[in-house]
Amino acid sequence: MLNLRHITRAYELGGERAGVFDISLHVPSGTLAVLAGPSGSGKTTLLQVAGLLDTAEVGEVVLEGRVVSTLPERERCKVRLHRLGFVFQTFNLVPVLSALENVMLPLQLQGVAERPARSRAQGILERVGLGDRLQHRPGQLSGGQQQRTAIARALVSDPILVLADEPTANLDHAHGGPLMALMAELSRERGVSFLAASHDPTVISRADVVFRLNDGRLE
Amino acid sequence: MILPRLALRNVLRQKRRTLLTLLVLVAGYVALALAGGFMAQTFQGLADAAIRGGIGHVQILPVGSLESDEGQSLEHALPDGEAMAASLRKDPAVLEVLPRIAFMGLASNGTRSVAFLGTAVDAEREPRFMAISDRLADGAKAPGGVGSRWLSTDPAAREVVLGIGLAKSLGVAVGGSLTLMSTTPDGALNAVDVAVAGLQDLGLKELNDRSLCVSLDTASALMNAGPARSRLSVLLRHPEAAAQEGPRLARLAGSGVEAHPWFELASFYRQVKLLYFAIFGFMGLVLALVVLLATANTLLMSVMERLRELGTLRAVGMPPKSLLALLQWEGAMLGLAGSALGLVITLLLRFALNALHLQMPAPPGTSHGYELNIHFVPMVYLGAFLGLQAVIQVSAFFPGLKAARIRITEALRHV
Repeated sequence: MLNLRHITRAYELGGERAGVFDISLHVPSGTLAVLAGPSGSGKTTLLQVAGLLDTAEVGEVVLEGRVVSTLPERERCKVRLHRLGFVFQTFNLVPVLSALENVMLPLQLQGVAERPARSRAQGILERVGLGDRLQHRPGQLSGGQQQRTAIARALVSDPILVLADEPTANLDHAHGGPLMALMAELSRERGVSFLAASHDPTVISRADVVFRLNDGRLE
Repeated sequence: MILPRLALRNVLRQKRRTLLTLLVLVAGYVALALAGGFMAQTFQGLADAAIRGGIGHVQILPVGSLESDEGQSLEHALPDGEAMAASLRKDPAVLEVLPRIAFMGLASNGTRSVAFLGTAVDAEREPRFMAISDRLADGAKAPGGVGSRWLSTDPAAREVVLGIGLAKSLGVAVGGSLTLMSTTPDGALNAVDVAVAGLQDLGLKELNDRSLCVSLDTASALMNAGPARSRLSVLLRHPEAAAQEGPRLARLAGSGVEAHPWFELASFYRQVKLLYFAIFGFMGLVLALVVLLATANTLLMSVMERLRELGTLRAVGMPPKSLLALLQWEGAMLGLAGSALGLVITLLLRFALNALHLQMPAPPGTSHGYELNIHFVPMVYLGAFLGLQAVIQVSAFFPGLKAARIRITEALRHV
């Protein structure tokens, strides 16, 4: 489903060359894969390349058998909008929109009409346990609730792959565990793959596949 | 609908900054709209002054008379101007036709002679359509002007109405007498004694110092003019049709004549209009620049504060052009709110300023001031809105471009 082939993405950090180097990996459909490793090992960089947020200097990103890393930005946008979902460490919800509107956002960008978009967004928010927080703005939600809203936003357009960057880093243990349980459930339930970057044992323990990174290379 | 909704929420996010930007926009709108209303008042006043000052809505003249000077009296004349006027009066579009003779000569009080520019008019018809009473009322306030009245309609009466400056030069007052000297069309010198019926203030010093007015009968006696007239001032039932009616009336009047709408002949009106457009155009440019900078600054700050949010929008699949559009929407909403508030404040200020009956100083070249009366001109309000909106859309373009060009990974790292 997702294939990364010989990905190299380097940058200067404090006078040293950092990034990821010659990474190849495969994430099958419906799996919860984790990129594990210490801080600075290149997890986020690799996730951004895989999510078409950044461009590799060398290598290819292949999604559903199609090379997507060489597409022009307009096409990459479409791939992100229709085939990928994103969950960020700091939730990254739009603060001026309610939870429901945040989740409706990808659908509306796809051109889905207001009423069906609202219905689908409401359904998935209820699924992640936020049926009673639809009109709350991000500032009125707890960290766990915000991250569940972000997961709902990532899943609402039925992507094939959700990329999650340190999804539990801003949550305490009491919230991190249930969140990962939810992600694992949704992965099985919807046949969607998750590729999460994390060094949290709670996350790693839930993974079907773990890729360990160290100094930008796969161990 | 996501972009307008998002734009509206973003505009309302930083209320204080939005309010400050709105204040600039409102000030810009109010300045443009009030200046437009003031200009409309000035133009209307000048147009009225030109039309009711003697030009009429359309003037019928002998062909070529505007391009050449007269060597002697009535050299360029409508030979049977009275018959032509009678014929034109029958046209349904015509309200009235006022024949006139323009002539020059010397006015003498017996000890002193002063050159004058004379106009001979129909003493009966003229006061019904031209601004005679206003000029006489102002003339009555001048030294020697007490008791000023219009020319007698008696064909045998030999009377004159003098400009206040000319009366002062000749040292005559109402009730006094003068001798007017001019030439006949065949070049002979002739003179007629006239009584001063009144003094008039024409608003322009140069005119007050040189002009006088007599009846057509008095001018005929002085110049042996017969039915010849220098020109016909035509008043229309629908003044706005002056440009279209002119050529038709010229054809109707016969050969050897040309017609000019009033605005082609009102040189002072055109000069002031050009001057105002230049002054207020420059003011508009300065205002546009202030609005442009204020709005661009607000939107740019807004972009810089929302970098991570914009990066997130790009990450979830919003294309760059949508971010450009988002900033355009934000600008449009600021502009709409600014114009709406500006319109309300303009109308309130207009009401208040007009209610104060403020006296404006005399414009350059004129001898008296006027009351401020800012006109209600919907087209000016619409123009101010469209102009402001255009400036705002331009100012939103650069922040929009900044937003559209962000690098997603850098924006997501932004704190």
